[in-house]
Amino acid sequence: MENCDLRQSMLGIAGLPVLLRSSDPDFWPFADRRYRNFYIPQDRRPEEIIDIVVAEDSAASPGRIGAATTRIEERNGAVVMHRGNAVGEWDRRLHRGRLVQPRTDFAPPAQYADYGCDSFLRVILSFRLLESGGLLVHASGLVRNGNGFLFAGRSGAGKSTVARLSSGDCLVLSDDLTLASPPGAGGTIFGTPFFGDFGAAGSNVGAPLKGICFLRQAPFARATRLSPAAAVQRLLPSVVSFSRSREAMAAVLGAAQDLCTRVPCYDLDFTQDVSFWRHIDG
Amino acid sequence: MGEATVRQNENVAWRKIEGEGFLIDPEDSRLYRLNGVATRIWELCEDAISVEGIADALCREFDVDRGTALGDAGRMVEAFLKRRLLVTAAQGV
Repeated sequence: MENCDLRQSMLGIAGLPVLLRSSDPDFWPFADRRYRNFYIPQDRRPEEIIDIVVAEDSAASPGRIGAATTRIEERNGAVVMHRGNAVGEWDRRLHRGRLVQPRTDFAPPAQYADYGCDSFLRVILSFRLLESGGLLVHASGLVRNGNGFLFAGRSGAGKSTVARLSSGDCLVLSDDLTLASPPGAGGTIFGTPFFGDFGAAGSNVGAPLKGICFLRQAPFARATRLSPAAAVQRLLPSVVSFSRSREAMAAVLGAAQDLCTRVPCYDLDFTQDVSFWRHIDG
Repeated sequence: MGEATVRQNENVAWRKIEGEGFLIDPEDSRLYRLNGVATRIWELCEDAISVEGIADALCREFDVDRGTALGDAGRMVEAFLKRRLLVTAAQGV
C-alpha cells in the first residue's frame, strides 16, 4: 500500500544543506539511524534536493544485488549512479537528484540499504567538493585538543581501529570518509554521516587540519615525516572521486597538493594502543 | 617526409610537485609519479616533438651526451606511448 505523506529532512554536511524527500516509510528509519547527527533545521534554502523513491520488488530485480562497485555515467550535465539495484540521477545544474532503490534493500538485515542514499550522497558531495577545491577523503577524521587529523589508508589499514582507540579523548568526525575543505575556508576538516566498522555516525563539526597520517599497522609506534610529493602519492588513492574528466583529475591533484603542503604528513606505524599520538601531536 | 612526433594525451591531468610530475589518466584513474628527467621529457611533449628533439633539449639542459639522451628519450617516449599518456602526431617538415 502506498503512503502518500511526504516527509523531508535537511542534512547539513560541512555546511552544505541537502534536502532529502521521500514518502516511503521504509526509507526513514534507515535515514534517521544513519543521518540523525547531521539533521539541521529546515530554515535554510537547500543547495541540493534529493527525492528518494522506494521501488517495489518487481521493478527492481532483486537477486541481482551484489555489485558493490559504484558505477558512474556523466552525460549532458547529469550524473547517473548505479550501485547494486539502486539508481540515482543528479542534475548538476538544477541541483536536483532522484534515487530509486528496491524495497528489498531495506528488509532485515538491510545489508544493501546504504547502496542507495549513502552512495548517492557520496557521489554528489565528491562532485560538489571538486568544484570548490575540497576533497572527500577515505580517512578517519579525529579531533584532539581542538586540532584535526586525518588518518588515511586502504581498507583494513586501521582507520576504524584508530577511531575506536582514540574515541575516549578525541571527537570522531568519521571513521571512513572525512571531508577536507578548500584552502579558502581555512583548511578545515569536517565530519560526515558516512561510517565504517566503528559503527556510529560521525560528528557534524569541523576542526582545523593539523596533520595527515598514512596508516600502517606495526609492532611499534613511529611517525616518519613525508615530503609533500610523497604525501600526495599516498593521499591520492584515498581520495573519493567519481568523475572521469581531466578537469576533475586536475582539481584532485591541486587540492591534494594544497593539503599536503599545508600540514605535516607522516607514515604512521601504530600498535593497538594510543601511543601513536605522542609522535604526531607534539 | 615528416619526422614522427609525439605529444601529450590531452585527456591526461598532470601537475608538477617539488619538481616531480604527477600524472593521472582519467580513463583508469591510474597515478604516475615521474622523476626529474622523466618530468622534463613529459613537459617537452606539451607541443608535438620528436625523440631527436627531446634528446637535443636534454643535451642542452643536462650534462649528458647525445647517445645517452637519445636512449633515455626513446625509452621514456615508448613507455609513455605504451600507457597512452602520449599520442603520436605527424610533423610536416
